Amino acid sequence: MSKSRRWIVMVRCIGVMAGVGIVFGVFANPPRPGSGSSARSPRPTMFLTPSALPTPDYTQPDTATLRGLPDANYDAVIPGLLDAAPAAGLPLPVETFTLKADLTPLYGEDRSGVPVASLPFLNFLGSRTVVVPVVLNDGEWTEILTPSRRELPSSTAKAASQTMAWVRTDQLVLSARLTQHVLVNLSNATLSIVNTSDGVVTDMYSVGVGKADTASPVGLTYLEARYDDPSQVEGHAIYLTGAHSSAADHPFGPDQGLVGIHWDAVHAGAVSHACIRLDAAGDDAMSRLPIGTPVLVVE
Amino acid sequence: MNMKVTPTRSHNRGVSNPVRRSATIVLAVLLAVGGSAAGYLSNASAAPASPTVSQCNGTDNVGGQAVVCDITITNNLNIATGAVSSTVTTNDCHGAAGAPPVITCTSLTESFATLTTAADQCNGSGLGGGSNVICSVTILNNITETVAPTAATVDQCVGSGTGGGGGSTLACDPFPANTTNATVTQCNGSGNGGGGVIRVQCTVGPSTITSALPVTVNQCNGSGNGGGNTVTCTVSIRNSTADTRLPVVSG
Repeated sequence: MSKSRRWIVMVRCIGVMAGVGIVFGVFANPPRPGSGSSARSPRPTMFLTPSALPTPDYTQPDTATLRGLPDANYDAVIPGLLDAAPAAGLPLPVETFTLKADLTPLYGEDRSGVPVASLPFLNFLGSRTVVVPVVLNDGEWTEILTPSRRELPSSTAKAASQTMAWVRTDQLVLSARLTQHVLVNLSNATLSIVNTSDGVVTDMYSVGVGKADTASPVGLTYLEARYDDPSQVEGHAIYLTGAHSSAADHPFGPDQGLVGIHWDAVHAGAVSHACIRLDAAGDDAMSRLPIGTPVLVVE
Repeated sequence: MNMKVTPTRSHNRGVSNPVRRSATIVLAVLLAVGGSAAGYLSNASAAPASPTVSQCNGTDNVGGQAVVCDITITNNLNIATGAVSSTVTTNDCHGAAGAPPVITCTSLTESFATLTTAADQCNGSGLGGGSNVICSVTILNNITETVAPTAATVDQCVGSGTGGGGGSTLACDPFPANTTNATVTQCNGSGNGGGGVIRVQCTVGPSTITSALPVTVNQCNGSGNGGGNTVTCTVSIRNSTADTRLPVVSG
């Protein structure tokens, strides 16, 4: 090998090592909201993650293709969706979007391929579907949190609790700016409302969390929908998150291990099947948060 | 300068057709049975039949402009009781053409004690050169009893995409689609000023219609006829027989 070629190889190696170091640094020291004193930097408008591939040429799927895709609803299991675990280490979302059209195609890692699912324009309540971006990439693609499961806990050692997928940015319509997020600390069994810009905790409540064998899953999720269902929770709303149990396929009820935040008479300690149980004051605080509010669950 | 048109919801004074006549009859019966004293938020007079929501018609015709509008209608019909209601959300955006357009939007959501059975938007708009017309309509009909939906009929992309320019100018799905008095009439006589390829993209997603609650969509007709203009319009109409089951959380 000539001297000049050895030099090129050495420079490339240094570049690769530097890149690996940056990536390792990001994941080894993810920014975490603290108990009220730590400040978070505002979310950048352009953010690249290791999962972002070069943007391929894009062709909008035809109607027949869209019609054949699985509906990424709260009760679906769609293997092509991505594990959103890395999203917990990214700056928190500060805006929400709705969809421009029905059957918006969702893509996995290979964005040049066939979409893995679609999102409906309206959700199960007949309201506009609200999506939360975790990565605004290069203007053409945005990575959003999705409501469906990726796999069942019985099928894998570590099932994703929250999924995400790529969507064309031009399919999104800005819906709302977010100023606060929810922080659930499982060790302390507390739920806090936190100002996202400066990390200041404005409210904190004791809550009930998952039992040892049906633990509440950690990571980033979001407030997907708010609804009343007296057959489940009488006199108070249910705040459905996008998360699913990582511990059991169906820890309670017929659906896909849906993690809700809701009032319960027993609202302290490790008592639930994955849900976060609130007292009346906590329920009141949650009722003031917009759909799409990020919910970060930590150990 | 943009000419903003506030979305309006009004009586449908268009030419009568069998679909609209059916809607009128059904609604009249329902209102009589229900004894509903329905009225509009914006018009407290007697409840009209076949109300229409209209916006973004005859606007942004100077050139280099974008008109980006969408309408979402949720209708609720209880056939047994005759109870009806609807919610209409409009998003009305205008600005400079581009990829993507640079626009400013006005959103409005209103609830009505009647059904909203027609959407009419983005017709005769974006006629200056280099403009974008991007419009969508989504309708969800929640019907409490079992009804048999049939496929919505379509009349779209007829006499469109002419005027020069290389390659294919149309990307319409379904195509051809030229049913008379169709459920969806869109993108006819549009994108005729010449210019780039695939300048008329119009899609009707999986859509159904029922005799119990007929609806119509009329959009993006006679629009985007300046040179280099684009017309992108989509429609989806769903009929749900009220799957009222809510998600069961893990407790």
